[in-house]
Amino acid sequence: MTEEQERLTPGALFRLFLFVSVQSFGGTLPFARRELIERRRLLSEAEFAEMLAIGQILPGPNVINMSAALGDRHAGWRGATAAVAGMVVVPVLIVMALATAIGAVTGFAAVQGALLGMAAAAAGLLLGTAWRMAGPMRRARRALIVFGAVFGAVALLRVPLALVLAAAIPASLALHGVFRRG
Amino acid sequence: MLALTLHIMAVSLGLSLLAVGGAIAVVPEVYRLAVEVNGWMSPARFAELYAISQFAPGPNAMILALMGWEAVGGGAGGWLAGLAAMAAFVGPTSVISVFAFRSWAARISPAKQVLIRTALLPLSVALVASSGVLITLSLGAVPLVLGVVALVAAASAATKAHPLLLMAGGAAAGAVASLI
Repeated sequence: MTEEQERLTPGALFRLFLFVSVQSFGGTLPFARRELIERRRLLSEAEFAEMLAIGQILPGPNVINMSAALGDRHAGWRGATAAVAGMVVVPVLIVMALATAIGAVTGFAAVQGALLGMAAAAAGLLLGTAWRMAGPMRRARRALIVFGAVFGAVALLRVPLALVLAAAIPASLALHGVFRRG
Repeated sequence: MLALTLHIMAVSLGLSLLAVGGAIAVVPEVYRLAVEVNGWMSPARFAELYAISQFAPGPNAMILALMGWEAVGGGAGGWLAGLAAMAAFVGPTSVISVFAFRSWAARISPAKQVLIRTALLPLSVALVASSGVLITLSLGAVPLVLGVVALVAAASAATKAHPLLLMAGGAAAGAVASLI
């Protein structure tokens, strides 16, 4: 953030991230990118990429980590709180209203069928997403070993995720040379 | 009710600390805890709620709100539990994030960032793929489910079709199949 740039108030941060979250169907990332970089010019492309990278490395939802950090830069803890609240409060109310509304009509066979089909589509989307995410690693042997081990442990053996991560994160970092000096 | 809501918040907080690579990476663990460990819902109900969470706007973390909502059986208590679950999921990790961005995180060299992301990518991919497999299995291996999963997976991998459009297509296929 450059010195001349406006500092957003907590209220403005809440509205900004509310605007991002309520239009985010199928992932917040493209919408956050368009709003923060292209329309409001709060971050450059490079700054956005770096904040997102750190948000991915830290525990917690990526874009929410990023919104907390951006809110903090503009207005400290109140800004961080406002930004995160903007991201989640209204979507939570919407999703519970949706679940309540669907619950009221699940007696109909067609609704049951539609939910089943929708859930199957959601599973298909996850598999398609995994395939696209895997683009850079489809020929990387070390990455495929890590993939196979984690997939086997989680999907097939149902090992608790904490144990899987405690073993797989250090192993993958070491395998990729993160601990090497320089 | 209070004890259950606190339990849900504790589960949600634990899940958030495991969400390296985003909320979508903890879906298999949400499944394990909500269905297998705590028995808050059936496998098929979990799949339904996951679908509803993806059909609504907002971050991928919305499944956590529905986990809390369903665990107390919906209603007014469900709304509170849903909000509480979400607060527990994003609150502490946001505090960690602010401290990390203020101090060490911004000083990781770009080269090291790339290396760390490269090392974490296969974990994220494996967790997303596991979510897809677990949800498919929880729906039962009937032809309709397998057909929709395969078609949507192929369409989303190979085209830029909007996720909502694909989910609406799945819903339509399911509704038609139930009426035949």
